Order: sequence, then structure tokens, then C-alpha cells
Amino acid sequence: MAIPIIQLENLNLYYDKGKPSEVWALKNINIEINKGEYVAFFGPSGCGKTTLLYTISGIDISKVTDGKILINGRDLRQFSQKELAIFRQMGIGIIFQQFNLIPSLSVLDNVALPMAFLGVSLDRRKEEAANLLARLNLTPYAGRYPSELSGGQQQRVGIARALANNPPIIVADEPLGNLDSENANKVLEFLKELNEKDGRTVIMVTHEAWSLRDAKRIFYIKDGEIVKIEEPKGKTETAKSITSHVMEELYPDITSKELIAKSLSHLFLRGYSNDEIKRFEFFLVQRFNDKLDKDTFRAVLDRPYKHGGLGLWKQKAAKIAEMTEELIERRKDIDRIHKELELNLEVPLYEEIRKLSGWLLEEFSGKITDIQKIKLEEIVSERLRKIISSEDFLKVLRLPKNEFGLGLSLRVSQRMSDKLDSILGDSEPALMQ
Amino acid sequence: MQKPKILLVDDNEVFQILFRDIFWLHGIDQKFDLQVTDRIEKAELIIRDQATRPDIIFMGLVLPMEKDGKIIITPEAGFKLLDEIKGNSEWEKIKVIIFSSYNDKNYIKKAKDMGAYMYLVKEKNLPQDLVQLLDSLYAEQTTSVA
Repeated sequence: MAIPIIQLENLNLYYDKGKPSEVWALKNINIEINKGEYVAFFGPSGCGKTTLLYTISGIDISKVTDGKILINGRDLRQFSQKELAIFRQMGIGIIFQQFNLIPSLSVLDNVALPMAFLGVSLDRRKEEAANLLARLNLTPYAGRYPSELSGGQQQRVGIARALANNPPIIVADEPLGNLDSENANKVLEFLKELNEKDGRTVIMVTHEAWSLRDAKRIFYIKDGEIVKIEEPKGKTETAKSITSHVMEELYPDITSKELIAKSLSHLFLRGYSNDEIKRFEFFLVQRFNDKLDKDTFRAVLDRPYKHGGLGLWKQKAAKIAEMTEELIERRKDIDRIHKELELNLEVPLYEEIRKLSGWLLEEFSGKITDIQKIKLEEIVSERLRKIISSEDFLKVLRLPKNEFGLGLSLRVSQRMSDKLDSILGDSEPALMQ
Repeated sequence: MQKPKILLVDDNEVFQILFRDIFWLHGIDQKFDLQVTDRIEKAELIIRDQATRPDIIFMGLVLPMEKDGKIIITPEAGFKLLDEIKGNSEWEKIKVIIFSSYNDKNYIKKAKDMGAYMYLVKEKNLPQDLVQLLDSLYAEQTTSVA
């Protein structure tokens, strides 16, 4: 009997153990993944799936308080630093949402880089990188820089790089997040090929049900626990409908919290790295769920990144913490408004709408006419009643006054729209270029 | 059936880990038993014992050895071990693969002349190349036994 390629036994992990900001991020995880399986870790932001992925990859495992991380029967927790470093190069290939390519290196050099860590000569590295690029139909782009490529192409470079040292395990961490449907499809097809043709073990880490298309086993994760394991039967569509149904069942209100977290990180942390944004969303969800108090949350934002914080400049940390508290308060208003709307869709809500509009207008420093004000209250009301979408709201803000819009600048419109999204929590933030 | 045995003789810790990892991560440990040592003196003991005698040896050339009561690091070490293996009628059928950082024509020629099965240069081999080589060695080993 072959032993599982990955075996987690009674795994527990805490962030900030013993401090007020302590978070129990992984709780008694017990899973087995066999060689050549295609599985998924599924759950909302902040549920612990990225922590779980890092643990399996031998990253940050000093925070594991008890349990075993067995890879082909050997426990990573018993490894020396050198052994871990080599395992990370040879054992696991990670595909990231934000691609994480090095902008100053050519596509070929990006793919060749991981081999340099194993002391392979430049010639051999370039030869192998060229083979990998050919496999991903990227040969014509070998000499280009990442910024000259489309998102889909960059993600394929990311895949080629993940394969550089021939790892038996491939982990895709939200790999489709920044791609259009055609490119997302290509990535899914390729992951499937790596699994079926190469026999590699594939782990898809995602919060989107449609990324689960090819997974044979799905681990549902909630608040650091595996709450359900599912083996979808039949074709894509059934798998999809089952999972979205289960999603609603398991995470009734967490999806909106997650969207709020996303909107907020979009609002506050534009330009920050993927890791920083993920960490921010993680702590934000903890704050939303009242697992962290106000002061601890602010302290975490302020603390240096390498000490587990966000490393924000003190004043910025204070400001973000303050805005977060305000949003939590606003959010309570919104819940109340929605309850009233449920009873009577026609209820006027003048006062609430005036308050919300005023709050949104804090983003605008110019003068506003009465007509603009009325228009804004009108669309806030429509947005609350779900008559118009987030996109429509943004559109009306930007539309010139003679076309019945508010005629605001893109920047102000975007911030106002983001702000409203962040308390409504019903739409994904639009990606800014 | 007993698994064929491989012995690695190399004093570089990182390379030892890398070599072991290839067996561990790619399931080569299901096919071969692997032993690792850093010194030719220890390698000799392992070879001398019939129970531990390897079928295949991967070894560096520039290794530590004892000379005149001192430990020195020299290519003489690798050649000495190769010479002992090929000069012993019981040991000579062991396949010796030189796996060295040195891509030196004279070393390569000398090693081949002395009976080395292959001469590989470390920096030219990726993990995937070693997996392939070990798979083909396994195929050779099992057919030649049968």
C-alpha cells in the first residue's frame, strides 16, 4: 500500500499565541491526499485555506503548535532549515493569484530562476526553461518582460516557473482571480493535464465555486476547520450547482463579509502585495466576527510585517482602523435598513439615505448642487433596494450632468462606489488597471 | 524481492539532502534502498559488508580523506575509492557513477579509463534528469538480475 503523499494529523496553528490578538487559524486538521489526486481547499477569505497551503509548503510552520505534516511519510516539522529550504524548491510548485513574476527579469529568466537555487548551470537552466515555455505555448515571449504580457500569458509563465524543479505537488492559490474566462479556462485545462498526464498531485485553493470544476475531492474550510469533504459526481454543471448550494448552506452570511473584506482591502491597500492584502483580509474578517477587539486590530495594522502585522504607517493604521469601525457601525444600519425593506419595499428611509449620501460625499471636496444631491440620494436609495447594481451606480456618478448623471471624476466616483460596496457587501470590487 | 542498493558518497550537506529528496519525493525509495555517507573510509566499510554492499555508487571525486594523520580534501580520494572497487573481484561489478562538480576533461578520461560507469557533472543535472536516470538504472538493474 502506498502511503498518502500528504497527510496532516491533528494539526493546530495559532497566530500570536498568548497575545490578545491570538487567532486559532487551523483547528485539528486531519486530511489525507493521495499521490496523483486533484483536490481543492474551498472556503471564504480568512477561513485558513492559505495558512493550510503554506503549512503543506513548509512555509511558516514554526507557528504550528501541534500535529504532523507528513509528506510521503516524513514530518516537515522535524526538518532542519536547510532541509525545508530544499523541500520548498523541489517538493512543491506554487501558482499565485498575482503571478509574482520578477518584473526586471525576462520571461525565460523568471522560469529559470528556481533552478538556480539548486546550483544548476545557466545553460542547463535556460534549456529547461525554454522547454517549459514551449509546453505552455509561450516560446515567442521568452525574451519579453512580464509587463509586456497579458494577464493570461503571465499566469502561464507562473505555471512554467512552478514546474521548474519538477515538483510532484502543484498548488494553485486562487489562480483564476485575475483572469478573464478564456484564460481562466486555459489555466484549468493545464492544471488538469498536469494531473492526468504527468500524474502530479494538484491542490486548488479557492473561494470561487467555478474553480472547482476538475477537483475530485473538495475540502470545505470554515474558521480554520474542515467542515465537510465532498466528492462531486458527474459533470461540471452538477458539481457547480452542488457546491454553490453547499456554499450557501455552510456560509450563509460569510460571503457578504468576505466581499466586504475584499472591498475594504481594495479601498485601503491599493498597490500593496497579494500577501499583505491577504493578511489584511484575514484580520479584517476576524474583526468582523468580533474575534479581535478594536485596539488589537489597530495594533496588528501597525506592527511590522515580519512580526505578523501589516506594517502600516502609524497614522494610516489609525485611520484604517477608524474607518473599519465606522463601517462596522454603518453595516449595522444597513442590516436594519434591509430588514425594513424586506417588510415593505416602498418604505421611504429618507433619514438613512441622507446619512449615507452625506457619508459618501466625504470623498468629494468640491461643491455640490442641490440637483446633484437629490440625484445621489435617488441612486443610493435604488442601490439599497437592489434596483441598480454597483456598476450602474458608478456609471451614474460619472455620467455628465446633461445626461442626468452627477458628473463626478473617475477617482471620486470610484471611491464613493467602493465605499458603498464595502458596507453593502454584495459585489466584487471592480479591478482597477 | 530485495531492492537494489544505492550508496551516495558526498560530503556536501546540501547535495546530500537534494539527492535524498529525489528518492523521497519521487518515489524512487520504493525502487532502491539509499545509503548516504560523507567519507571514503565509511564507504569502504559499507561496501565491505555483504549485507550493505551497494549495487550502484554515486560519488564525488573531491572528497575528504585521511593522509599522513591529517584530513585533506582532494580528488585523490574519489580516485582511490574507484580504484579499490574496480581492483577487487568481488566489488568490481558495482556500477560507479562519478557525480562531481568538476567538469574537467582529464578527470573524466581518467575516471572512465578506471572503469567508472558514467561521469556526470552536478550543475548539468536537474532533479528531473536524475529521476529519469534512476528510473533507467532501475530498469537495467531488474532485467539484469532476472
